[in-house]
Amino acid sequence: MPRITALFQIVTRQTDPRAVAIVRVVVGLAAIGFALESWVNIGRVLSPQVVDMPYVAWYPRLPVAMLPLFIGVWLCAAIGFALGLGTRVCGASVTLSMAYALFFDQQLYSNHLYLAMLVVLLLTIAESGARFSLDARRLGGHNLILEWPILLLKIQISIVYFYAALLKVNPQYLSGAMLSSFWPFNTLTTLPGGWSSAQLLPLLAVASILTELFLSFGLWLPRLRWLALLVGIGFHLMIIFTGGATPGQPDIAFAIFALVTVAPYALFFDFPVRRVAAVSEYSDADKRRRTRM
Amino acid sequence: MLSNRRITPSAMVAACFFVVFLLVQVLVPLAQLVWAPRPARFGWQMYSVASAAPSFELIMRDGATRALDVTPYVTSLRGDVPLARFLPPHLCTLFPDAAAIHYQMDDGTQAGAYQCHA
Repeated sequence: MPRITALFQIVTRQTDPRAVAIVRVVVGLAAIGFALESWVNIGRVLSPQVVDMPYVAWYPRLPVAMLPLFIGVWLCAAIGFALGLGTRVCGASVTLSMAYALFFDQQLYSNHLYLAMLVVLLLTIAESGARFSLDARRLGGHNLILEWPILLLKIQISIVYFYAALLKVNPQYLSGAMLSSFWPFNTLTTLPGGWSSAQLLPLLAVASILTELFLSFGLWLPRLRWLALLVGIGFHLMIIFTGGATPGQPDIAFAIFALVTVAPYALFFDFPVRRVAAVSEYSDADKRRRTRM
Repeated sequence: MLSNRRITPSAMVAACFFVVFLLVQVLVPLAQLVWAPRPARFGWQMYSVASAAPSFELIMRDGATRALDVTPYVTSLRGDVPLARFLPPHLCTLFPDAAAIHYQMDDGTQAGAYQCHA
C-alpha cells in the first residue's frame, strides 16, 4: 500500500516546464534529421532490387509514390513540434512516423531512431509545449506540468547508457577491436608518443565503458551533475568527430543521435526560480489542472 | 498520505503507463542481454560486438558457383538482420539462372542452401 501511495504521489507531482520545453526544441530539430535519414533508408528498401524483410506480413507497406508525402508530413510535424505549434498533435505525428519507419522493415532497425521515438513520445505526453512555444503564446502557457513523463525520460537516458556500458563488457569489445574502426585507429598503426593501437585500444575500451557507466549515474547526483554534463558533451563530440566515414569531419547521423541523447540532460538541472511570488506563479489554467488531479 | 479522493482516472492511467513503460524499458534490454544472440534489437547494444553478414554464393543451373556481394540487395548488414532467411528467395527472383543459393554464416557456425523453384 505505501508503494502504491508513493506511485500516485509520483504521477501527480508537478514541475517547472522550462527545461522540458528546451528539450522539445532540440529534439524537434533532431526529428527533422531523422525524417531525412528515413527518406533515404525507406526509399532504398522500396527499391525492387532490395529484399523486403517485414516483421509481420500484414504490416502496411508504403507505396513508393507516397514516400515523399509521408516524409513531408513527418517534416512538417517535426517543425511544428520544435516550434511548439499544435505540440501534442505534432508530437504524436512524429512519434507515429518514427514508429512506422522503425517497424517498416527489419533492416531499418536503428537504436538511434528507437530512442528518438521514445523521447518524442515522452515529450508529447509531458506537455512540453507549455513554455517557449507558439502554443504558449497563443493560448497562454502553464507554469506547472506533470513531472512523471519527465522522470521517465531521465530514467530512459540512464537506461540507454547503462545497457550500452553493460553490453560492452565482453572480450571482443575489451580487446579494443570495436574501436579500431574509429579514427585515428582506422588510419594509423603507430600513434604519437610511441603508442601503438594494440596498446591503446584496450585502455580506451575500458575508458569508454566507464564513461557510459558514469553518465548513467552521474546525472542523478547533484555533486557530479556538472561534471557529467561536460563528460557527456565531450563523449558525444568525440563520437561525432571520430566515428564517421571521413576522419575529423562531423558525422551527421551521430550528431542527430547526440542531440536526442544530450538534450534531456537539461531535465536534471534546476532552473532558476522566478522572482515573482510562488502563489502568482500559477496561471488560471494551472489552478484548474491542479484541482482536477 | 494520499487520500483516495485524489486517485483520479487520469492518475490511474498515468500510474499504469509509468509502471509498464519502466518495466518494458528495463526488462526488454535485460532479456536481450541474457537470451538473445548479439547484437540484438531493442537492447541498446551499440558497438558492443562486431557483426558481419553471412556470405552468399549462387549455384547456377549448369553447376557453376558464383560468390555474390549482397551489398546492392540489402540496406543493412548488421548481425541481427535475418539475411539467411529472407535473402535467398529474393536472389532466386533476381537471378533466374540460379538453381540454389548457398550461404555460410560469418563465424562458420551455420551453412545452408536454398533451392530456387523454376
